[in-house]
Formats: sequence, C-alpha cells, structure tokens
Amino acid sequence: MSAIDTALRRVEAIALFVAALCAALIAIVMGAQVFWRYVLVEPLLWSERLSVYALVWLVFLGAAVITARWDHVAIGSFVDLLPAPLRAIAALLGKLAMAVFALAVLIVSFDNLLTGAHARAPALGISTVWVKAIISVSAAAMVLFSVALAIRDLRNIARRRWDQFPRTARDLPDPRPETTEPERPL
Amino acid sequence: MGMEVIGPFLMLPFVVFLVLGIPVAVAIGLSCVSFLTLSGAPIPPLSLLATEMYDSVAKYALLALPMFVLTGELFNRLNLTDKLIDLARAMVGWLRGGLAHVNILTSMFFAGISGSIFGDIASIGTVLIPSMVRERYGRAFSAAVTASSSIIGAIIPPSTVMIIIGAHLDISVGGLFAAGMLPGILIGLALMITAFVISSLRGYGEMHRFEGPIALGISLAKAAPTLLIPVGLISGILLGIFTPTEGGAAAVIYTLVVGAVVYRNLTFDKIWAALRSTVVVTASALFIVSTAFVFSRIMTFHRVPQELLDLLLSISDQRWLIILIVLVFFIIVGTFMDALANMIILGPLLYPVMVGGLGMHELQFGMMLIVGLLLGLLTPPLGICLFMVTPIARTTLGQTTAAVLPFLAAEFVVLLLIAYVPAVTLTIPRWVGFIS
Repeated sequence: MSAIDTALRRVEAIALFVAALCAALIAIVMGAQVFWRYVLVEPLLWSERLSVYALVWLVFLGAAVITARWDHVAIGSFVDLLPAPLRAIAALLGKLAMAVFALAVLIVSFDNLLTGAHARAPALGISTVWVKAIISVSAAAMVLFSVALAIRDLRNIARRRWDQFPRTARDLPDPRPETTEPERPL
Repeated sequence: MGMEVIGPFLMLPFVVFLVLGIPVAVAIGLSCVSFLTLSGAPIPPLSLLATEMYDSVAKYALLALPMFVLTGELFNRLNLTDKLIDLARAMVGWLRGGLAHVNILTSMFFAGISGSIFGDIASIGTVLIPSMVRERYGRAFSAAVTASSSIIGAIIPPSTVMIIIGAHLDISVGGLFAAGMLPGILIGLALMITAFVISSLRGYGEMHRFEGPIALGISLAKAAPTLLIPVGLISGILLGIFTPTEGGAAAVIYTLVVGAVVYRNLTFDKIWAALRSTVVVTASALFIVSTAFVFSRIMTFHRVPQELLDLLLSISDQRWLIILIVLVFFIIVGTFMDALANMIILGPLLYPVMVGGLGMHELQFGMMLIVGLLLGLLTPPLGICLFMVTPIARTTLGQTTAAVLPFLAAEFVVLLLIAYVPAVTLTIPRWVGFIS
C-alpha cells in the first residue's frame, strides 16, 4: 500500500470516528432532552440545535466515508450487461463524475460559508461557519478519495486487470445444484 | 421556460448518468450542476447547490432517522430478532404455511422497531429462509415471502422513509406514522392469505400443532421486553406524548438498557459497531436526499409540477384514471430507480397535482407515494429486494421473480385501496387527532 493510500485510509478512519461520535452525541443529547422535558419538566433550549448540527456533520462526513469505500447506492444493472473492459471504463467514469460533482460543491460551498458568516446559532452562541464548513471539508475529502480511486482504476485498466471490475454487489453467486430445480406449478 | 430546458439539461444527463452506473446521489447532483451551468436559465444560481444541500439535512424532524437506524442496528447485534421469531412461531407457526406466516409476522414486529427494509431482509431472511427450506418450502417461495414482507418495514411505524418524506414535504411525521398502521397490517394480512393459498396448493411446509396458550404466553413473556419498544414507541408518538425524534432517542436508551440488564449481551464493541453502521446507513440515505432536494427545487422553480398537472388533465379529467396512471408510473419508475430518490424527486412534483389538483389528503398522498414506490423494489426485473434476497435463498433470480408475482399482486390490491379508499389511511390519524 502506497503512502498516499495509507494517508487516505487514515482520513477515512478519522471521518468515520468523528461521524460515529456525532451519532452518539445525537443519542445522548436527545435522550437528555427527553429526561429534562418529561422528568425534570424543564426543556433544554440548546439540545435541538446542537443535535441538528451533529446530524449535518454526520451526514457529510459519512458521505466522504462512503466515497472512500465506494459504497454509494448505484444502479448497476445496465453496466453489468457490459463486458469487463467497458465495465472498467464505466467504473472510472463514476469516480470522475464524483470528483467533478464534489469539486463543484467545494467551490460553491465557500459562498454558502460566507453567507451569514456573522450569524450565531440560537441558544448555542457559536458561529454557523463551524457547522457549514463541514460541506467544504467533506467535498474536499470526496474529491481526494474519488481522484485516488480513479487513479487506481486507471492503473488496473492499463494492466488489463479486469478481475478488479466485478459486477455489482447484486451479482449473484452460482446457485447450488439443487436450487436450480423448478418450483412445482400451482 | 419549463420542460424545454429541464428535459435536455436536467433529465437527460440524469438518466445517462444512472445508466452508466454512477452513484445515484452523484447522478442527481451532477445533472443539477449540468443544468445550473449549461442551461442558461437565470434562476436558480449555482450557489444554490451547497445551500440547499445543507438546508435539506439541517432539519429537526430528520434527527429521528439516525435514532431509529441505531435502534435497529443495536437490535440486530443483541440478537433480539430471535425473540420475535419465537413469538411469531407460537402465534401463527401452526397454520398451513406456518413458517411463511412467521416470516411475515416477524417482519411486522420488526417494522415496529427498525423501519428498515434491507435490515429486515438481512436479519430475518438469513434466519428464516434456511428453516423454511428445511421444512420443504420452495427456495424461491421463501425468498419471495421474505422480499415481499420486507417492505412492511417502511410502512408500519416507525419508518425511516416516512421520517424523510415528512421532513421533506412538510407533512406531519406522526401523522404519517398513524396513516401507515392500517395499510401495513393490511399488507401483512394480504401476504399471509397469499402464502396460505400457495402453501395449501403446493403442500409446502410441515404441519405443527398449536402448543397452547401457556407456550404462547411464555414466548410472549420472553419477547415482551423487545415488544415494548414498538408498543411504547408507537403509542407515545401517536398519542402526541413525544415527538418521533424523542421517541427514537427513548428507543435507543431502552434498547441499551434491555441489552445490558435483561438479556445481558451488550458490549461496548457492539455499541461502537452499531454507531459506525448508523453513520453509513444514515449518510447513504441523506446524501441522496441532499442532492435530490436540489433536483426537486430546480423543477419547482421551473413550474414542472404545473406542467405535469396540465399534461395529466389533458389525458383525462377522470380523477380515478389520473390516480391509476400515477400508480402505474410509480411502479415502473420504482423498478429502475432508488426508492428514496424517487420519493424526494417525485414527492414535491406530484404533491401539488394530487393534493392541490385532485384534492387528495396529504397523508393519503404520502402513503400512496411511499407504498407505490416501495413496490418498485419488488418489481421484476430490477427490483433491488429481489437482488438482495436471491443469494440468501440460494436460488436464481428468474425463480424468485416468478415466485414474487402473486405477493406483488396482493400488495398492489392494498395499494389500490390506499389510493382509492381514504379511510384506509385516514381513519387512525383521525382517531388520534392528526386530522381535525
């Protein structure tokens, strides 16, 4: 594994760790909200806002993790019909499409970041820049991951390693002999 | 400017990207980028992309999603599904086609906890399909029962799909939960009747005798701590005691307590693994939602819903026919596309048509949208549930496809009831006060 691969794996691990902490934070804060509201009869003012911000971080960090693992939901049925070399090209196109999209998001995310940069989150008092910045961070990570994956695909195409481009996860294993028996008709 | 720019600059790239196997979220997002940069339409600006993606996720109602996903993940890791299967076995295992009924009933119990279709297939299918095959049920039949009952997960509350649709279309999530109860039960019953008929005709399964009320009581007692999750959760939400998000948080805490105190198999590793899975599942769904939200906003900007209504009215002014056209459209589109993306894109598109134009209640429309597009997951040849369940049953896709058709027909009948009989979806919401 190259140094770049190792570095990217570490970025993915950190992103997943922080996103999992965000999931835990939402559970704890919303649990606390239930306790304060129903047991202590004293609603928390900051809990909803903090949880929503944690959700935004969770989603966009999670999207970067899914990109690193290339685990996005996709319709593979049509590409599966193609021979391996064309499947390889389609796989490469997928990564390049991801890179272009993430780059577009990264560029426009700065506008979003600066819009209302002075705004403070109600009840929490923190700048909303800290929340919105996760879109830029996530988009940058997605560009990095998808370019790295595209380079890997290119290398495999150059070496004609078509086994690296299997059909999608929905590809069916060979059925066991007894399974191919037709069902009894009604 | 409407369809003449939406068609070539938004819809066409979107379809091409999908066919090329580009991830659904990216196919949607990149077609939006193509539209915003190439179409020459003055609005909306490209900067909308990041703003809308952020706004689509930063919603309080969506907080319920990771909570219910986390509950389901913990549930699987604590092996609580076994308790539900045992209870279902005691309740309906003695009927003709017993294990098929157990499979369906467990899906209904499971639906009350997790709300996940794929979680249902993975956790129930892997346990029950081998048992069904041992008891001489057809492999394809077992696969078909598992796949067709899995969609109940998104219909009986709590449902992750309802949370997203409710937040996105600004429909009460609690109201959708209430509206989903009767259709979910009806689908369960329709599937059980279908399984009973097929099992009787083909002589599937071994006959077991009813073990009596004492054995049933013991199974119920063992499953009671688990069953308290859906019972407490749903009643709390429906009675307006707490919001779906608070209910989700309470379900997480309760599941942790049950795992630690009652079943004593909770470990830190299981919690951490459940949190990591929750991230992947939640992000996967909401990343699609974030780009689909931009897509639907562009269509709304360009008055595509209005053009669609005009188009439908030009075909016919008969309400029933327009509804039927929309239902068939749902099934066809649902076959080719991710169900969630479909709901996010088609929901805002059809809401003005069905609710504003045809006078359908928004809860009825929400349920019609959800069930109609979910059936696409079972529709051959591209229904994703068929792809998921076939390897588990070790059969072939062709056989699963043939076996699922009677179940699909039964579910389509319930879909027709949802679309044409408002009482099916609106009775319970009216009882519990979501409709005045």
